[in-house]
Amino acid sequence: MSLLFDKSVPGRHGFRLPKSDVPEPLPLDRSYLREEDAPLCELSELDIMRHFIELSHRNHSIDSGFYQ
Amino acid sequence: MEVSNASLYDGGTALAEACQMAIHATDRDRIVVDGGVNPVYRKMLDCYTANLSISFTEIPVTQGQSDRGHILDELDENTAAVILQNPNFFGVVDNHSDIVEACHARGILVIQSVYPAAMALLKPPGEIGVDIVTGEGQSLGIPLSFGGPYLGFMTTTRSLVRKMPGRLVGRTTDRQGKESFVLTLQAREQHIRRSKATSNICTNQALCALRAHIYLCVLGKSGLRELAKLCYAKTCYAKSRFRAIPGVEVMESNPTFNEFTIRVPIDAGDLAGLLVERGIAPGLPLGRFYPGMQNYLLVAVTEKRTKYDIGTFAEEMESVLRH
Repeated sequence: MSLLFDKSVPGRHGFRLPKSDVPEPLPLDRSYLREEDAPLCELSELDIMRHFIELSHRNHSIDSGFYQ
Repeated sequence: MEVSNASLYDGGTALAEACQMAIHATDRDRIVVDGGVNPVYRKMLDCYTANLSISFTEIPVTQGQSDRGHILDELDENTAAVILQNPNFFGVVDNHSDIVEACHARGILVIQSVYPAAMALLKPPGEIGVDIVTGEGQSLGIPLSFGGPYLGFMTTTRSLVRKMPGRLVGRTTDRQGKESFVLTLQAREQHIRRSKATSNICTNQALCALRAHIYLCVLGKSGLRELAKLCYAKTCYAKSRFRAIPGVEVMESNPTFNEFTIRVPIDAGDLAGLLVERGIAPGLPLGRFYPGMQNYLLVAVTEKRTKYDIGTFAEEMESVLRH
């Protein structure tokens, strides 16, 4: 089973935020800002759902076998 | 940051565990706490460590910001760590790299409590050399649920990993050379050397951590940044609306993220009560935590609030103050 980061495709996302309905603020001073984006994976909702469903099927639990 | 554990109860207990970690790592017994750290967390630190020989020194903020000079004056050879928060309790954004540098020059660790959504935009603690990072993960898709369960997170550097409490998962290969994940470095915990355990915390918020993980996957790299920008824009808009209300003063120092403080002409608790009657929960009266700040209200605005919501809030406040 491949990892989420292996499945990541640049530019893909699972949710679209509403457009801002307020004026654009003055930007924060650069000394407060991070230089690169947080290294998160980029996946569609379907990619994510399939990944976690596959993971859940691999889980051993009291419903699928002996559990001490 | 290089290592994360599998979560802790909440932001406050994560911070308390970080203090114990710093004490063990440095063999010193004093912690300097910036007054911008959430007062609820500070109370939890006192409660959590009441029977341990750890002394805390709190440094009040100046104009809502970390008082650098005062913090540096308090550092001595017994100081294990300095606790900072970004954005702090008043929502004030800071770049603590100067404090981190001064602490490291004296062999003192820096613990920073952070608001995770803000980290998509702000300078991350790893970039400025913070040693232990903790925080509350409720905002990562966890419902408020009348107070919990929530999610504490803790990350650190590889050099401190053996002092870190809680569950650690490591990536390795099995006998067939297949990639796998295992609970690792368990000698740190009570499994083997109970008397020398890093901590006796074993419980974690795995379900909440999984939910936060899925939330971060769904938003992704660009989504989290957009979310943070939206939060910042709405906060700035709310501040502009409150500035226009006669008798209300927005406390200005550094920029703020999500939260900001306003001074109102009446008791903030009374004002909050009047606004609740109009269907608006306006924020947190600060007199509850800071003596002398009875007229100050901490207001929070996130991406969930629309321009209309913010406008209505400002209009209702103006109307209440006029009558």
